[in-house]
Amino acid sequence: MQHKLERILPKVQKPARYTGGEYNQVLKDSSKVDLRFALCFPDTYEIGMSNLGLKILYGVLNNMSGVWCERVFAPWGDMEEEMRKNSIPLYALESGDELREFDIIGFSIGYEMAYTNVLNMLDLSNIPLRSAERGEDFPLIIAGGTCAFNPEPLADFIDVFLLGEGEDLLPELVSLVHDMKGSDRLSLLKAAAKLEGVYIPTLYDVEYNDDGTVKSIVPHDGAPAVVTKRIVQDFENSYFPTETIVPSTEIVHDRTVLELFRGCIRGCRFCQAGYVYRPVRSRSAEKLRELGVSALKNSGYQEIGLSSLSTSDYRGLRELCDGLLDWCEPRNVSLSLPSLRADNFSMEIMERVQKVRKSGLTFAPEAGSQRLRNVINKNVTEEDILNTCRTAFEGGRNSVKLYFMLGLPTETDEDVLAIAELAYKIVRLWKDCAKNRAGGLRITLSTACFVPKPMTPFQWEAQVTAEEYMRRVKLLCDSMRSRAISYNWHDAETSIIEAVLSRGDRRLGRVLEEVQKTGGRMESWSEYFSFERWASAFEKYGLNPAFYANRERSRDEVLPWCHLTAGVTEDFLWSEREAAYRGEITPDCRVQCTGCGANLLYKGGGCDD
Amino acid sequence: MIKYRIVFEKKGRAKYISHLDLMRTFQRAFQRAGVKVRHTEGFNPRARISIAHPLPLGMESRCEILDFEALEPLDESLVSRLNAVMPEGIVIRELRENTRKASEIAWKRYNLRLIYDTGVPQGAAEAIARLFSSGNVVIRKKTKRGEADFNISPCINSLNVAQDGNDELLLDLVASAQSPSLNPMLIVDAIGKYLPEISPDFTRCVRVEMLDEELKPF
Ligand code: SF4
Repeated sequence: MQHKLERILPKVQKPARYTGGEYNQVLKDSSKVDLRFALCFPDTYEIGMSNLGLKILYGVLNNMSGVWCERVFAPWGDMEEEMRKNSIPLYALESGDELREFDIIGFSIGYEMAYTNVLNMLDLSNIPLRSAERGEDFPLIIAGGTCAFNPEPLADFIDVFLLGEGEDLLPELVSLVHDMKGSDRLSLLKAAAKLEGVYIPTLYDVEYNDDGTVKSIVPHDGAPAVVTKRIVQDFENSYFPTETIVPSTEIVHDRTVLELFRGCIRGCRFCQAGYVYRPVRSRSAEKLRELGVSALKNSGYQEIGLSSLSTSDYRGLRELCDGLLDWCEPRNVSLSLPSLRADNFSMEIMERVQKVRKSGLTFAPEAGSQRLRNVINKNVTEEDILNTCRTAFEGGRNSVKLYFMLGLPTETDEDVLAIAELAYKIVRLWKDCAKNRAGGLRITLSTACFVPKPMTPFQWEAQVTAEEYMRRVKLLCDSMRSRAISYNWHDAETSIIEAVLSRGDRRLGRVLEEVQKTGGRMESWSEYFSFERWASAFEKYGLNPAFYANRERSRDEVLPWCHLTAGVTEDFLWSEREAAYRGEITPDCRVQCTGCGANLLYKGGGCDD
Repeated sequence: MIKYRIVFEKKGRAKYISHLDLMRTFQRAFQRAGVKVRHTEGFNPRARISIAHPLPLGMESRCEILDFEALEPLDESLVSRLNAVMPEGIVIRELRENTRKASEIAWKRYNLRLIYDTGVPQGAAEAIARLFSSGNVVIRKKTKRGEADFNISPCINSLNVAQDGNDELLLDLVASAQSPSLNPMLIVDAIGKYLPEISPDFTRCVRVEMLDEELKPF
């Protein structure tokens, strides 16, 4: 344990998250490894340690001989303050060594509000933020995750972006870095650009029009004109971690997690994950049961969860649940299911699982009216929801959580009011059929402001302004007077910044830098987020957030991420956008392939679903 | 159902694992080692384990005890089975049948290492020894109802001070384990109050032994 660290840890909240030493951490002799990798998650330990992607990459990298991968998380404010006061640089949990000693620093970035944490973590490591200011001796800074599909706001800071799934690509890059030790940075970057899925921002020149839109993005030094994301080809047999680190302190999802499949067949038009992780690839129920049991045995966890974008679409769900429960029940291990879709809700499975715990129901209809649900291609009907509620109420359950978005394309006041109507229908249904009336009904209804995301059919949309969002919130609020309903709305300010960053360009690099310098960090936590800080940074650099958030793009505009692709063609996205405006739904991939283009990512041929 | 007790060390990075987290850690470690431990009833069954004298966060120990009930007889091999699945810094020393009540623990021995970054001040050891032999060392202590004065002298059975190298003082303390139990770090608070000029820059504390009424090892 570092000497200085020992003196500050007694002063901070939950020190166990800063020490490492957990069961199953990987320790290697740093003098005997060839390459050291710092796997960074730009949020707290509790959130990062719950992230499945991080567990996978940790395992994949540490399975490489000669490579030692360690974990790094963002410190909470009190810890950061103590670290800065005592000149303790950011360090990796396993060895306690500072980040500058590593060969590669890799960030897994899943949401835009973590961007300032990326910069702050580099700053805490005494590493210059900008790639251009880092000499050859500094570690290579790389990043991947959902944000890599439009990484432009971070282009000035990150040397290498990895698009898509990292299981195969990351080891390829790490091997390249290892083999090219000793050669200069530019040669390394040029060689890396040849790997499929690697995007090197400095190998592209971006020019702008007078109106601020992008004029052109031109590759040089042999970089590809378009970078295509990578996928795991053989998902059934791809690496899955069964010897995961068991934190010694409580984290957000403190349990074993199984990943049933990648991708999603649904095609909800607002959902970035649904488009950028296509096509669907699943594991067999038999394989999953085996992996689940071995992970439970190894970790000692007494809970196992199933994780995927839309779990109830998994074909072998019943077989898997039965198989797991046969093992779990006699051992006091509980199976937790995410809320299943109403349309193929398997009551038997729920019944068997719910023996352990009666949790509430959760629905994400996203929009209140059927018209608007068709626009966004969210395939849930009011009937599905009410049927599921009826069964639950008759079974004695009394709480329902509902999630909606406001500000979806084409939304009218009528659509907003339909949210309240749906809630009232649930109230009436409960009055008719509730078994257990003692506690009363509790409906928790939440709305968030819609954020148009790159690589979705809504990537050209304008976000509604904060004032308009708040007007709709008030409209909805005023139309719900039942004591059974409690309404929470997310603030619009965070969504605006999210919208700016998610479709932003390279000019935002200066804004990010300014926000970090003026104290911005942990921005996904309301206690740290400050809209004013962002506003003054935009002003300082003469940029208008509305240009990024509230402006509709035309079809022929050069989008900042047009040189990157997740496999789904822009023509397909545009046709989905037009279908949305016509209120037409698109069948899911299982009913009918609508030719999005993602099938071409398979080396062998078409999609398996 | 057989009652067992294990004796374990908690050291290094493990000293930052809180009492509640430690319970969870053992619960999972038993599960990993395949030890059948009696569980609580109800929706969310938990292993019935208890740790008699929770260690303050940041303190090390060589003598922690944990009691549990096993559904089948266990032997010494449990020690190595558990040690193979523990996080760094938690080391099981022995397995005993639980025949003595943990309430028989009357005293606890601690080693405190007082660290002075610029060297131990002249006469510090003597001054500290003198302070605690006075029989009246009163500090402010937080209670449920605000703060109160508290004379810690009756809680101290013995306190020996020795200098170790240029920068450290070693305090060997035997303090009461019940009614009330003394947090050994209050010794440092008392030094800070009565002898501010020899207040250390940092203190490490290790619980070394649990003792019964007769000051014999528990
Ligand atoms: S190619 Fe067809 S089946 Fe495959 S993901 Fe696209 S729409 Fe679905």
